[in-house]
Amino acid sequence: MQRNSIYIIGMSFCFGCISLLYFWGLIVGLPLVANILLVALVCIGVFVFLLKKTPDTLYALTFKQNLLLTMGVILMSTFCLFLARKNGDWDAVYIYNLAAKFLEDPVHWRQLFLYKDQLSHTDYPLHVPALVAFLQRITGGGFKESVPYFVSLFYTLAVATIIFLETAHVHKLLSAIVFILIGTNTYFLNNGVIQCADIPLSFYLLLSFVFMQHYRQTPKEKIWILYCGIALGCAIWIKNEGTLYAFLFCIVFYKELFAKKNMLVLSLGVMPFVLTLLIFKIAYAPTNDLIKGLGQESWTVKLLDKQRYKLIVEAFVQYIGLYFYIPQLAAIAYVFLSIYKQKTPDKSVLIFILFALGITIVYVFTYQNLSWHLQTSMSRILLQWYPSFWFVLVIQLGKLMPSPGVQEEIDIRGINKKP
Amino acid sequence: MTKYLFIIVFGAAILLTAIADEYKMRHLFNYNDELTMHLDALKSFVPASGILYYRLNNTKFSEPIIRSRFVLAPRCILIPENAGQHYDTLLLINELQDRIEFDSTQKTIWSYRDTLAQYSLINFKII
Repeated sequence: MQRNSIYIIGMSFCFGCISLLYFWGLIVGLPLVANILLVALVCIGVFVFLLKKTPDTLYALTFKQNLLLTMGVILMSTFCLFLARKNGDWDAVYIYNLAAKFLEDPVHWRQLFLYKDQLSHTDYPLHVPALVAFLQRITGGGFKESVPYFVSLFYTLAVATIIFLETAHVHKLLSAIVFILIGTNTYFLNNGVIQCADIPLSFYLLLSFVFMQHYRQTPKEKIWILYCGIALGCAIWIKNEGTLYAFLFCIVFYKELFAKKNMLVLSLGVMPFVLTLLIFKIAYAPTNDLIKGLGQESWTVKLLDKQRYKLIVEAFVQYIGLYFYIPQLAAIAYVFLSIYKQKTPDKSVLIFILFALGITIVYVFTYQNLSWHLQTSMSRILLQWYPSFWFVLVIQLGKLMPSPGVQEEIDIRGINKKP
Repeated sequence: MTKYLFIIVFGAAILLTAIADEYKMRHLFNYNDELTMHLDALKSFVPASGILYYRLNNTKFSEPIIRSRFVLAPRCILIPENAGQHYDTLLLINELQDRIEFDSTQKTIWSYRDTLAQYSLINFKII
């Protein structure tokens, strides 16, 4: 794994830990100073662990790749600054930043759950709001605009960077093309800076695929399963969809994740987040919209309503055509290339079909107006898969048409020079 | 040192952009001058602290409406429950969030119906 990836992943894991620790701190009434000390200790621990334990066979980036990466990050930051809006966008104002404002108050934060309207979605997990609330408190509330923006921007830049860093050794040209495509995709960048949770969710989903890819290359290294567990845990602590994706991910990679030797490390990674989510859902959050809606109307009527499926498929096709036509073309190219080379598509590609099926079920049973629900969320759902899709596609295309100048591996600390 | 170069650039890009964003939002960015004007007007005739009733007419934020509501109920802000479905109202909420102190200690919600619309009552404190 690239050393730069380790730093970015370390930061994202720290964000997950901060969010958990702050939420737990609120529950038990921990003073802010104690919470800060605890967070500092855990974050140092996370970085020390990552830097010492991560198998660090590094792939040397060429000068041109380094230049592209650096310029790309600077240009993306500049784009993001132009796209930034006050207080983010609709969901940020009414869901995430609103929740963060409550979580900043250590005494009355539970008042958040008095919101029973359909707009505030107080049943959403609190990864992003708790993180923003903690950072707002330690900065004294003096950077009201920039703290949630900083969090959004980190995940936005991290998505593009991790994809580039983790695919550069597979196919130089493809990784550069995908990096440029993501970095210039204004729909992606715009959603990245509106302070919602879709890009953070897509980032942790991407990490799960990255770690699984490393594990499949080096099955002896159980550490990848631990990291995969943490990434999945962070995903389920961000949005309700995260739980669905984690569940489907576990089904597809059942053999790898639930191998006897991996059970313990997987549990170590994912359980803190699962337990926190359970406590949040049972003790604090109101009933989820979907579950509440199931009791209101007969689910069999919805299940058998062909019109609902037609609407969902139409919206799916419409939004792919509108925002994701390049990934669509790339997927078609991959299918044709697989047929030409007589290779069966990898299961990491097929997982996206499962994601689509899972989301279709959610839409079929939604109690909200289906057209409105599709119109307001379908494109963002697709965006959540967008980084993982590119990562998987570059890896798979790299296998089908190997790059002539594949990176030489440099084992910096010699950890992998095992006899 | 060169092996840390990228991560330094990455961190610096995020931090500098976030600082630039704070500056942009505070000094360069204004959604709607009319809204700001009304909020300034609002501040001129209400106490510096307390709670305001603020009736929004979904897309029109005229001062007479604000004043009329203050006569009726001078200490609270009223926002329609369906506020988010109107983009202008959303912008106003953005402005409100920026211009008022969010007071979660007094957070209570009452929903009731009157002859015009359904409202949520949200307590804020002007700063």
